[in-house]
Amino acid sequence: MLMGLGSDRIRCIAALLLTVVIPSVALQADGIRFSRDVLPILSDHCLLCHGPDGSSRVTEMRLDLEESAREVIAADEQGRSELVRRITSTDPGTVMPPPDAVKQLSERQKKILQQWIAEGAGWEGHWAYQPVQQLEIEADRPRDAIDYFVGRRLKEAGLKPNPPAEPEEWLRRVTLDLTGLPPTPDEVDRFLANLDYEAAVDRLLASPRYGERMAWDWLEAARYADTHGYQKDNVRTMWAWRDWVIESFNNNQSYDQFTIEQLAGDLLPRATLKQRIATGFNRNHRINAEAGSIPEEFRTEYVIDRVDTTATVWMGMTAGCARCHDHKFDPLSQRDFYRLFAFFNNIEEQGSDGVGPAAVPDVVVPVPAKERLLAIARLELNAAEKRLQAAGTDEEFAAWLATHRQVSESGSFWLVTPPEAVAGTSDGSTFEILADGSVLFGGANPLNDVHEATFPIPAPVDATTLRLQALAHPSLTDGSLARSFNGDFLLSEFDVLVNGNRLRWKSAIADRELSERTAATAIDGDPLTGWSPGPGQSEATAWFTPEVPLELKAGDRVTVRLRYESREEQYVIGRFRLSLGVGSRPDAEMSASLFSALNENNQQTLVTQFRETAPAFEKLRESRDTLRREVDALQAETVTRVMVMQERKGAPRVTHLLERGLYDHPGEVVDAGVPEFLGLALPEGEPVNRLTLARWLVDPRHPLTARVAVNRFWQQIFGSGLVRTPEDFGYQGERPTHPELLDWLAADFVQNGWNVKRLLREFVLSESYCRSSTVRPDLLERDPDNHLLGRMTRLRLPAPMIRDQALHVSGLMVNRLGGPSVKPWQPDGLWEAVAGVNSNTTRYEADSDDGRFRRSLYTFWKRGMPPPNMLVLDAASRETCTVRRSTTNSPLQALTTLNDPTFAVSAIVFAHRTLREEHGRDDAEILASMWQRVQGKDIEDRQLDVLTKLLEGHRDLYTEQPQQAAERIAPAEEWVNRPQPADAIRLAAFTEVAEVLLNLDTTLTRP
Amino acid sequence: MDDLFADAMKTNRRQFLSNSCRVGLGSMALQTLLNPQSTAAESAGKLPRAKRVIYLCQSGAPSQIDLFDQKPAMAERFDEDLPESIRQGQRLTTMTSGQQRFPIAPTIFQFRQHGESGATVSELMPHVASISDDLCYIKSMHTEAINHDPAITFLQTGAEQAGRPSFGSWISYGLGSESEELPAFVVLLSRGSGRPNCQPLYDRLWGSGFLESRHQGVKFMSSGDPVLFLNDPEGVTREGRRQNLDAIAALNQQTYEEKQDPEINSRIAQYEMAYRMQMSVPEIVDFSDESAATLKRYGPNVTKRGHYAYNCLLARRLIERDVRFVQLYHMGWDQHNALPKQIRGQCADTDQPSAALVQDLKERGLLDDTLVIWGGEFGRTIYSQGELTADNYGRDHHPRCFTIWVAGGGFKPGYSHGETDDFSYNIVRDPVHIHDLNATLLHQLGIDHRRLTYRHQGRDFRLTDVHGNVIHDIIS
Repeated sequence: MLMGLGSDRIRCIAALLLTVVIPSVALQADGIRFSRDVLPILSDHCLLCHGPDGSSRVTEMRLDLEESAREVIAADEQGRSELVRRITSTDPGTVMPPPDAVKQLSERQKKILQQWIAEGAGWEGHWAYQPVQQLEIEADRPRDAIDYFVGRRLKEAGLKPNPPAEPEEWLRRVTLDLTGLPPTPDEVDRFLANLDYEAAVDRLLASPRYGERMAWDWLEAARYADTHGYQKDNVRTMWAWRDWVIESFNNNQSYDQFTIEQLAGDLLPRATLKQRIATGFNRNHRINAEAGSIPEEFRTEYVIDRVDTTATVWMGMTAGCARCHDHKFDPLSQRDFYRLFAFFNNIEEQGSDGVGPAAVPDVVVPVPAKERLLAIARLELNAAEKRLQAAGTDEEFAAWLATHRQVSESGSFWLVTPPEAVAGTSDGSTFEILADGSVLFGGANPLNDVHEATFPIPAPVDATTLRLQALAHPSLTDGSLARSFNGDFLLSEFDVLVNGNRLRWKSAIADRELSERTAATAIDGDPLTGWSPGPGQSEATAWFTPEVPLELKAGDRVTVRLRYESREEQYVIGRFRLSLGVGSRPDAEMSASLFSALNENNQQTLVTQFRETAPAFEKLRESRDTLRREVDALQAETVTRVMVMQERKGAPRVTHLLERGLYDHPGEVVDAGVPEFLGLALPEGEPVNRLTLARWLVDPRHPLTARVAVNRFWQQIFGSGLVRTPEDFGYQGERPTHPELLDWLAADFVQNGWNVKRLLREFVLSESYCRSSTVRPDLLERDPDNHLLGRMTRLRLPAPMIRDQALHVSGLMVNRLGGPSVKPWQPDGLWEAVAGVNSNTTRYEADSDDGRFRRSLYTFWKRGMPPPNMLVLDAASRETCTVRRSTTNSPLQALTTLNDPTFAVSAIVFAHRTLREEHGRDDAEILASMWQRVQGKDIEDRQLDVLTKLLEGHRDLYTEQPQQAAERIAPAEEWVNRPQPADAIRLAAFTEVAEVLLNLDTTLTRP
Repeated sequence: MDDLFADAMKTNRRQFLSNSCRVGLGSMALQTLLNPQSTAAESAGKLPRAKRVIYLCQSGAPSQIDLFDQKPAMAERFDEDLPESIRQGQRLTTMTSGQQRFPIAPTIFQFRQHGESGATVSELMPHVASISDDLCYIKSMHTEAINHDPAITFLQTGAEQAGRPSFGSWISYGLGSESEELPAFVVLLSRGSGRPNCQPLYDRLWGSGFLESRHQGVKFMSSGDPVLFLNDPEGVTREGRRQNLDAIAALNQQTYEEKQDPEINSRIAQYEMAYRMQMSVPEIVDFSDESAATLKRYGPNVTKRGHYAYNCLLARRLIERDVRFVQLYHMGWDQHNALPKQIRGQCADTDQPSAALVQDLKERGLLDDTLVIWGGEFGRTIYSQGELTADNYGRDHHPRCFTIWVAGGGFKPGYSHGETDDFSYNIVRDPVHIHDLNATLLHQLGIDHRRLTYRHQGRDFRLTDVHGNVIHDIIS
């Protein structure tokens, strides 16, 4: 190499440095293979300008097509290839890639290309698009094939694999992998007694916990969440779809059927409700309800999301790249993309939706568990109503009646008038009339509003005043008076019409008002000024006096307009009550219905009023009301809605190719169809719809579906896929570490009916899986990323397993299958800090019941603010399809498993449980028991030494400071002081041991 | 050819390598970082101008017309229809696309020139106006989306769709952490008093997308523990926790001896860092060592958690302790109606603290190598949304032009870049796209925006997608 030129010298030094930093790998000993060695280089460095995308292609010379490439590969008369000349040139005008290209070729890559050409420039198609080929080997079972192919590569590399793992280690490994929970000491004992590996696996696969474990990864791929996402991020109810997934895995539904039902269950002949629910898969995407959004823009996004997700999950294809232009690397054209788009473009959905729990189209799903509870609650309500109807004696009634007649006849009282009807300016607002005659405002919450309430006059009265009470309610901001950000309101104007004639006011006063915002400004005709009591009030009352006292007749209609038209937003009374001041000095209260009954002297109504209002029956009424609320709540819960795929009626929507992927740039019309480069056409004579697409995907001849599925299941069990980019089987993806094995397993999977449990069973019974995970120095050096599987990979547990494990060992875990999402502990203020006031997920209220202790799979997932203890432990965000997670190691994770209340309480309860179960045993035995429960094996002396010292140290500290011990266990008081109070010092000291155990590397790691 | 990390690594190589080894930086980044050219370019002797970023994101989109982009000609055209020659049929949100007419709403606020640079700033921002000679105003910003969610996602991640890493995550990934006890990327939130029921934010804005999750922004909370799960559970003493961490380390060490897995050492180190964080974070949020003059400078809300002023001072304290990227969000700028009232509140929240932060950094010698960015996700329309009166109007979303200012980090001080038409509707000179701004910001951090990539789904993703040009006119 010439050393004269500065830049060359630098390059030369650089090349030297390269060899120091990244050990140079010898060129392939077995010769260059196009698909393995050459294509990745062409793809990464050349295809951007010489590839499939016509818009970025600079010449007609293409390196993705053999014919075109041959022209530059072929040697000229001097035996030189143009391609070699270009890549080795030092002339800036000639060299390829050009000097300003970001991605330059390394010397090694140049050598590979040269060697490839020297060896004759063999050409073959991209491996993943070729038909699956099953090599014939001597293997009875897939596990033998696994060990054969893995063994062969290890042998080629001259690496000796690790010996088998200890049985305890294997059991912990397989129990976590298949159920997401660690084995119990009992399960360990039983396994060690017979060492029956197959029986252990069968037990785990039969456990309902298996379906829950499998569902987590599927939920991440399906971008499942409990809110719609985007700006408003309101609640959605897709959990019945989640239940379908769990059930499907537990029933071992075949993967082809699992595919067909989720992509097109609605199109199956005589589709069942469950098959329709399954199609919720492609409605799990985000849905936008932002005001001002252009519906077609977002409807387009939803369809694109479906194409992206479906292509990633079933074909390992990065289809999204072809949204705006032809794929830069893979042979997927933009037209191909929109032909796939057309399959998913024909449902009757709204681009702007996502306010309610389900956006159309959806189905109503009965919830049998709630129906049973409802039947019971109804019986109880009936009984409670009967008890109330039988209450009171004649004497009591007479006395009550006399008192009220006296009030009525005094002609001076507050007549509480519940409205017949209330309306606001927004259709989505709701108004509930409560038992005390007040009106509770809910639903849509526009910035400005006018609430109009109308009530009839039951009997002639003379009214001198109108009273408006603003009352507190738990559903309002901070339990205050309004739904505004601070609970305050501003009543611009208070208009009252009697039989259509507007009253003129003499005065208005209030018991609470801001100095600038007095009640008087609510009758001044200026909508910008008005009455505010100020934030933080629990009640506020204003009295409005008309210029002329009202002489009202029975049947007169009073209309009250509460106008909220200032520049404050959502400053609207959340719960109001209207009353007429009858007589000169009203004091006692009387409901309009009682007043009416007294006037009519209707005995039956009066008796009812007596039982409904007399203080003596308060308890009876309360128990009836509680039951009534329960019945109402259950009634609402006996059905849930699930968004589904459902074709539009009539002609299908026309699909256009969208120029640059923009909804408002429609190009040519395209019909639904599948990419041709996969070499498998849609079956002829079938309708071109989602069902046919789904069946095409699971056609045994499809080159991708089985490979992609087997690879993802492999990843779930072994930690990384055979293809380490499960999301990308294209040119830019990684090549399989064991291509023959992947194909062998894919073929076997299809031949055996896409049987997932069988596949996993074979994985975990293979020798390769059963190996010890010790990181031998020679393995670490020669194969740091464990491509060759000389050892089992140690894996940091996924987020849900870490939390579930803590709940499991403490005994707090509530193992109930399926159902709506739950809200376990999370720090206060997380939702409040980000949510908009208009969202219905602004406030997180943790469950107080066993919702705290369900598996993490059931934790409510708000897209805008996912559960922090999941996110920090690398769970996917659920915004988009995710089929591969990174695993990181950060101080925030340590803080979570040390200090998150779920873990803190688990530690205390774990210690308490062990002390109770091991009652009467000595410290060493108790420590050994705790170790066994978490680690699934016996404690060693050196471990016991550390824990014994730790325990003693803490016992000394807590003995000196018993108050500290009491505080330490206080968060778990609910559990630890039953049946008798715990010995706080002892429990606190063992709690420290539990905390340490829950934070060990071996605890957080799948061995 | 500029190289991605050449500049950044000049000062930071040792730190960076030790970080990457400690936390197991993905092999992808390592390969990119250690490619031969980086060593070559290192000898070029260029230093990154900036090492840190404070991003003052004004969520909801402040009105450029009422703050920085003075349009005196509009005063004469009160309530006239926006000419079709200006609107040019461009798309509108569905909040105003149905309006019968688009009446011009001139600002009711007075503008005046400030400083030697003569920057025109409205009376709403007196403090910011007073430091105009330190600011680089970019009045020709433009973006793609017309709704908040995609637009703020674009501002923060360079893409409208969810799933991409945020700016701060890219910086954490690219430059690593300089702190032994604090995360590289911190997020601070505040609600505006101008419009308290404001646009929401979402966790993904500071998410790491497809980058490893340790690059996600760490939120400092406005209530409860300053960092999630920072505080020990009740009854735990520091010496007790120390004993536990020692036991964890001892037992993990035993495991390491048996398993030889390097990740175990990393875990031991992370638990130690967690312990140090528990000590250092409370110090950072304790402002008692700040002088009375400093506190006064940031205004009366400086000691109230969850307020913008508090977050500004906290941001300074964080970068002093080697946090790389502090991302503030101040909500409440979405003023569709009652703009004059609401914007007064927003400016009262942000004007003084923003200016105080810049001055404070300058006096401490930190402004030179700290980028401070102030701006929102798009601009607002000249025409009124809803009723237009002499003292009230609203403005709809407007992605076609808006103003952002940048201070420090080698951005030209006392400079105004770009120009919009008389209606502040279209850009007439020197447009700067969000991708251009991001490319320029990265450039100042010593990073070639085309080279800071991460391979995901077979593609090398960047903050600037396949776009972006460094705007040399705005940097010195």
